[in-house]
Amino acid sequence: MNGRPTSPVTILGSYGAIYLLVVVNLVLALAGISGTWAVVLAVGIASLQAIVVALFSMELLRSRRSVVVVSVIAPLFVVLLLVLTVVDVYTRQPPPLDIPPIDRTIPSPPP
Amino acid sequence: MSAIPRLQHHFEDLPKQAHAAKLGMWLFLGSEALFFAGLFTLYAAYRAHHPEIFRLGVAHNDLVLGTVNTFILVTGSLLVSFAVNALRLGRRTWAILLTLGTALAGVAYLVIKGFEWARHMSEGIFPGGKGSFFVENPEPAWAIFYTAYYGLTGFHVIHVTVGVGILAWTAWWMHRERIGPAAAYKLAIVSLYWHFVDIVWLFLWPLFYLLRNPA
Amino acid sequence: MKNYLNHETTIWSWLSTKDHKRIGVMFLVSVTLFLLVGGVFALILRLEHLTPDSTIVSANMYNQLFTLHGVVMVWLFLIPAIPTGFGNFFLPIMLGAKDVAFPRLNLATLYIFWVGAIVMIYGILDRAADTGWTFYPPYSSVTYTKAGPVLLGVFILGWSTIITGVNFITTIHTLRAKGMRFMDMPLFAWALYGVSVIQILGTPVLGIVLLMVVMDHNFDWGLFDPARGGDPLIYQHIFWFYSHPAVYIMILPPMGVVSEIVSTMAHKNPLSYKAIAYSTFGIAFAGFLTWGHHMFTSGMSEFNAGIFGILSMTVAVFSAIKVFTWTGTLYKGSVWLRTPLLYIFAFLFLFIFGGMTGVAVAATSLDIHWHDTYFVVAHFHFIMVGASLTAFLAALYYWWPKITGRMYFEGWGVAGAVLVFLGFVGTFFPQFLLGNGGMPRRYYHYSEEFQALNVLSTAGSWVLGLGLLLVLVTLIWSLFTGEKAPANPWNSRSYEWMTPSPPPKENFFETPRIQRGPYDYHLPLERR
Repeated sequence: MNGRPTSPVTILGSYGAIYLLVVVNLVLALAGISGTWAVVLAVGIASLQAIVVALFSMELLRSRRSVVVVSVIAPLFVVLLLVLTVVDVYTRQPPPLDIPPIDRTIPSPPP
Repeated sequence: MSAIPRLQHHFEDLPKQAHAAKLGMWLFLGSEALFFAGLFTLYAAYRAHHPEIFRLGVAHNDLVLGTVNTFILVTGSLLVSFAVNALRLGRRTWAILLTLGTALAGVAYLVIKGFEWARHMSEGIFPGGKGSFFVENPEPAWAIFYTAYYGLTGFHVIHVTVGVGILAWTAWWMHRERIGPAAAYKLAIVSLYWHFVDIVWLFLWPLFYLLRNPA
Repeated sequence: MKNYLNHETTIWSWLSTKDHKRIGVMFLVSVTLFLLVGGVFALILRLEHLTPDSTIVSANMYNQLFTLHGVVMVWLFLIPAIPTGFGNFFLPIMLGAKDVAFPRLNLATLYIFWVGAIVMIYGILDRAADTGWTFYPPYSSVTYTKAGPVLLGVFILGWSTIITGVNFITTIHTLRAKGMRFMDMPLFAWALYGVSVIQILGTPVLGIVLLMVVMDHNFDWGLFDPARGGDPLIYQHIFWFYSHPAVYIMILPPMGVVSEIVSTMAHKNPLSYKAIAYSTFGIAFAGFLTWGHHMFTSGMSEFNAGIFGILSMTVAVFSAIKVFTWTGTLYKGSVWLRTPLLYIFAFLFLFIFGGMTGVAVAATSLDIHWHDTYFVVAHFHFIMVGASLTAFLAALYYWWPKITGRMYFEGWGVAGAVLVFLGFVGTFFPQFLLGNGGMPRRYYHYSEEFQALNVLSTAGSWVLGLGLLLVLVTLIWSLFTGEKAPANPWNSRSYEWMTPSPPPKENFFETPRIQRGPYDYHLPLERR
């Protein structure tokens, strides 16, 4: 980690890519993209940015295998928790009941 | 030249010690990723429950401020990357200034975030569905949207604050010559934390500012 | 002779130590203390259940007792015990290292543990918690009890666990002695590696979800309140994402202990080193795929129930690989029947029961009947007490000579092991029958037809308590009058026996040169 400094060109190049992706994400939102595609693209772009930061700024490209393994495994488990929880919500039958608005004019019951 | 880091008695040599510090930080960041995972899961599950109100909530957030904050944090990461480089090349003054610049970027982010929260609160939006906004908008999902918003951004704010503190502390140590080019790995490890915090925001930004458009 | 215990004897030298051995000893004392606390809660619970109605405590007190029994046992004993006690002590020595990778952080984990424990105790002494150790909302959001400090205490304890995990993995990667490849490490090190992976990936998720409950309970955030758009099942998903792998945190280190003791006492190398090593990671990762089996009756979607039901079966495969390997190692070994091995036999027998009933409750259709009954309670006590605690006791006896420099009393050791085993079976086997017969868990009252088995279970708890007390008293007694222990009383080939009992402060007098494997029983012991 003390080792060779990274070339400024590489640093600027990688951040250029990140700034560019920020702009792309913004433009897509301003253009009105919606629905499932919006989520896929927005999160996909964020993931791409995360990969660029990890590979270049966090120097995964020149890190030992043990470090790379950690950087791959952790996000996988984030995805695991998120996906299976959301799948539960989407596959419940029947759909969640509509909850009526709270009537705030009556006092709430004591605990 | 500047300080040579002390080789601790149980390490074979300095490169091993540096690698241990790096691996340790990555493991810690792995745990931090899972720390945020619960909150992201909360958001995802509740957006699945209440897609329309979440969309409206996101549309209500200030896209300009959110995007400015994104640029600020990415720039902070850029600065700290150059700081690590500078330290490796022995340019201590540049390293200190760039590190402080990153810390400043963090502070700017916090100020803008604080401003956003203040504005929400002035509209009667508080965590737990409390405040006048929720009387005017009685659908239950509004409460969970904003509580999740405060929870996620608040948790991130805590991490940014800690990051600013550590960056300032590291800059101080560089100034006092306790961290020099031979110990550049210590600044590199701090920068790893900062990059992680940046990555989390790169996900928060679309979730709370971009996914706003009606179908 | 100067060793790690007597080279410096001031209290400050202990409180400020960076020596992993002293830290390990302090953890061992701490977790044993909390084992006793949790055990007392259990004894009171069992006393209460002597009669179907009120016996010695009120209903509210009962709720608090079963909550605290779970919280204390899980987070102040089962999760830390073997890793922080024996792991801290032995990992560096087994790797031929002078210390763990981050010694100061290691000391910090001890202080963080105590801060967490004290915060929790403050909560316990005030108005405790009565939600069950699982803290489910909506009740945990509105309970009048002091759930806040108890939750915060657990949150703080989680940091101790995470840092320990980081420390152990880094130690294994960077401090192995020259020439020791991953496949040359003692299997206990593999167990510690596996448990550290789970601790790093899982504990933060617990941390955040407990923080969420604190925000709900103390600040009325309503994160899981349906009236505010919330969904209590989301809590359960996030909670069990950690809490299922947590049970593997509680079993992997004991399995590591079993691997060590089996090879030593059978004087034989493991039937398959790779099977044990790889199955450890199999358990560590597969354990994360199964959490929904705690939610079969919660209102989760049937689709998810199906997925989790199938995935839950996979973990048993890895456990079975280990059990068969251990059995095959003992077979035709030169078996030396001493107290540690008695506990290992108990482990193998009880773990199979506990594990098989685990596969049974993983079957969705069966769990519908057994969920929230004493069947589940019996299942997890068979693992947590019958396997984990048993292995902890085995480790205590096995490594007692090395840690203390004294031999324990073999006769009393056998007596204690027999009482513990019989008491355990007497306490928990009836609970399978109770649960299958329909007795719900966490209920203050029970139906009269269940009384006979409850009385039996309570009697068993007294025998178990007596056995544990006997173990504690006779081990402490041996500190004063036990015979001095040789460096290698078991003629083991594992590396921690290469150094004197107790070890010197620097672990080894000269840097160890590892020229054979830790289980090379076909090679003679080195001459010293």
